[in-house]
Amino acid sequence: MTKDDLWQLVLGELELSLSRANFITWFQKTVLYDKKDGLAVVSVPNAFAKEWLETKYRKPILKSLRTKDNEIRDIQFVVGKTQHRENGVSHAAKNPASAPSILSLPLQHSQVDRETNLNPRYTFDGFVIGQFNELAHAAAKAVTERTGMVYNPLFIYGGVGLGKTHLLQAVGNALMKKRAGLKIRYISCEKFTNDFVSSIKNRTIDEFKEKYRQLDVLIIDDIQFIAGKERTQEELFHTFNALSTENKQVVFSSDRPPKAIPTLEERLRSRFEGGMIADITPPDFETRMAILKTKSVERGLLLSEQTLTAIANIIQKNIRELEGALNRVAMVKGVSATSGQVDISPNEIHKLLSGTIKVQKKCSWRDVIRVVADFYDIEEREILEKSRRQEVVRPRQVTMYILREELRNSYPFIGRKIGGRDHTTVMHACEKIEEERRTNGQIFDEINTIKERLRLHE
Amino acid sequence: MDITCLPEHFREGLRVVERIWNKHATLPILQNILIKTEDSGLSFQSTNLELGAFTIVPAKIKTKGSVAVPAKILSDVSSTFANEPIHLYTTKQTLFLYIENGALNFKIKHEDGDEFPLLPKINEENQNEIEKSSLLSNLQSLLPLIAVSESRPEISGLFLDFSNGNLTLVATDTFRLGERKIDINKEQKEGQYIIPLQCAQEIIRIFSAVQESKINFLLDKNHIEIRAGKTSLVSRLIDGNYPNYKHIIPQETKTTFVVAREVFLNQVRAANILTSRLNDIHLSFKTEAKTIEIKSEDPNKGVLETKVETKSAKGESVNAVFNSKYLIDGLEGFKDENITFYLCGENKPGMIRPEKEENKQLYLLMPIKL
Repeated sequence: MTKDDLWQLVLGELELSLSRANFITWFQKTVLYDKKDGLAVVSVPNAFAKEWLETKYRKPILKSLRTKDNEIRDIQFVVGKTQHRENGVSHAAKNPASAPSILSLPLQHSQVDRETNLNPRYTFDGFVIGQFNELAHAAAKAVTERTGMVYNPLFIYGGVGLGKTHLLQAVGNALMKKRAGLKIRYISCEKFTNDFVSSIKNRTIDEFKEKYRQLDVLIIDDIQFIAGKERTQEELFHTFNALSTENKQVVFSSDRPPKAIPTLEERLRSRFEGGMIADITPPDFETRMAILKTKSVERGLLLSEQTLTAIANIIQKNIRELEGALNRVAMVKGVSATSGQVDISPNEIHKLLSGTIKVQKKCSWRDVIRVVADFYDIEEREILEKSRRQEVVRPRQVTMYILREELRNSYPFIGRKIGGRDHTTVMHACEKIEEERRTNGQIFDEINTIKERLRLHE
Repeated sequence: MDITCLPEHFREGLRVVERIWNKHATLPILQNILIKTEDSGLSFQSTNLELGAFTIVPAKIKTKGSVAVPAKILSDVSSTFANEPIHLYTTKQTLFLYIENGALNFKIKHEDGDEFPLLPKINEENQNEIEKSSLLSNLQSLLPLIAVSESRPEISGLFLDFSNGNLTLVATDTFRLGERKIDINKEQKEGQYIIPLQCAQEIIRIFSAVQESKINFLLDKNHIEIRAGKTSLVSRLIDGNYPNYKHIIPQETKTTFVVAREVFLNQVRAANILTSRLNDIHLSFKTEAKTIEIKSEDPNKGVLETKVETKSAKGESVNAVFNSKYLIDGLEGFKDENITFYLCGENKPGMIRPEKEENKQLYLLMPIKL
């Protein structure tokens, strides 16, 4: 059981014995932060909650924890940091330059350009290309060459931390450099929605329309968050139409293909698919090495081949975590530009990273069956049986798909393990799920959740 | 619980805590004030889970206990007290707090005091002592400058910088910036903190009426406690880094005028009456004539033209347009007889400092670009 699950169970129990108001006030935003040597560390949002939980709820919490995990002997409360949004500074558009306005003090902002919202740090130069992002990179380059003419809209999708935002911002920055005066705006989907909502509230909807329709290049990040926001979708639809009829470039990014975004209006979906769709997959080993080398050169760190290999082996799916791992190793080991080449053994690196970053564990086919059965709430043996009941067939096919995609098992091997089936049955299952994953948002989410659980399983 | 207390003491206790409660809290008990018996008297306590206030007032205690009573009712009740001792008591049988004062006999529903949130305890080790009068007057002058900004939480509070034997207070809303320095005589614990606007307001309100002449700041990573005698205010701190403002303070200036503050302020106030929607007021600094010409104009209202004689003038003559309200805020923030107005050229910030003890106080404001 993971810490989060454990804490959810405890909260579930406590909720029953408390009034709603009490529960929300004191337990909202609490997290089981750590669990080690019998000590459970609970992070709470502020010192008021800390004081209250310590004096009033220490016993019931501990009791509840112990019924689920009898190793826990004691409990400690800490005040957690409130989370900051990554790009905290996002400003509304300024008045047109000619109108009189009070100037503001040049207080140090993040480097983000106010007009365009672009961060100059992201360029094509700092972007490592491999097989996994070749297509997306080529499409992005093409967009900067012939803006609005080819690939409109450009739709880039891929998992967390694979460089979507980097690519999007690089397009914006390259265009800005190439043709000064081009009106470019980079915006997150959430900000777009907020802008729209506040424009309705303040009755400035015309200004909102004008602000987005006068752009030459509109870049929207994480567009999947538009799901379920109908009026925003409608507004985006009209904005998109207005821009594309004038050959203005639009670029989107998402963590999934348009087909898999749930409750996306059909007309918007077809617009997303009308240009160019490029995906970014997790990087292969060689690319991970190339990235680590580029980053360590950038920071002036000299790490041995063996050390980099060890890091690249541990972190496989996420480039952001890859950079994080490099930073952590360098910091803990005190590597700097002046310290010369440093060699750290793979074991040591594993130890260093296991505390902070989710290190992928090797999982077996048994684990997959267990996790899938657990997820769909069926018996493990049912997956192996011959039954063709609908509620068993889907989990069985998902199991096969994951065994194929994640563990890279052969079709015959999977067939043998899943109740002695033929390899063609397995092939059919994999194709079917792959197809559904691309077109059905629910399946997409299910598979992601299962993969996430596999990664965390203990 | 059974106590007797003088009305002025009761009102004083209530005054400290009565503004910090939350009308919209999900937890109904947060709309209450906690009254509790202590070894040294009767304590009053309130919190909205961001701020919390606590104080003890003298009282004669017969039996111990605590009750939580709605803040609104308690303040209304306290305003009716006649000038004779108040008798407060509860009984085991009922959920009422009985308040007897002269002919008045209140019977007020209360809640269990044990349900009332506890105030965080702050480590006593890390504390600094500040002169109250100068702290409060400096805080007061900075209050209007604190930005009410949700997008930039770090400037939506007041910056406290304990370093180099000083407490530096800074507030800005990006259009103007104010800085005040207060000496700390004793040994100092260094550190930087951002306190929320409401905390700054409450410091002024609560501590302006206490007798102590020194105020203690107890500092922690997430929280701060401000304490004088038996009264204290606890607040969360704003998480984030205050912008590095020092580099925007002009090091070289082109024009320097020394002017009598009250005279200048009066003229600016007059000009403020006839400014346009932008609140723009046009200043012409004439070095040779040693005057500042002031003009404001709204086509729909009228025009004001006036000028101020100055004590001294140096450097280039220059024209500048400022927001009249911001200029008034700045001038009102100083207590000195004469102030020095520095300018750095067109579309560059203007800077006001007192003529004496220049480095202690600063007001920086940006011009309006027409």
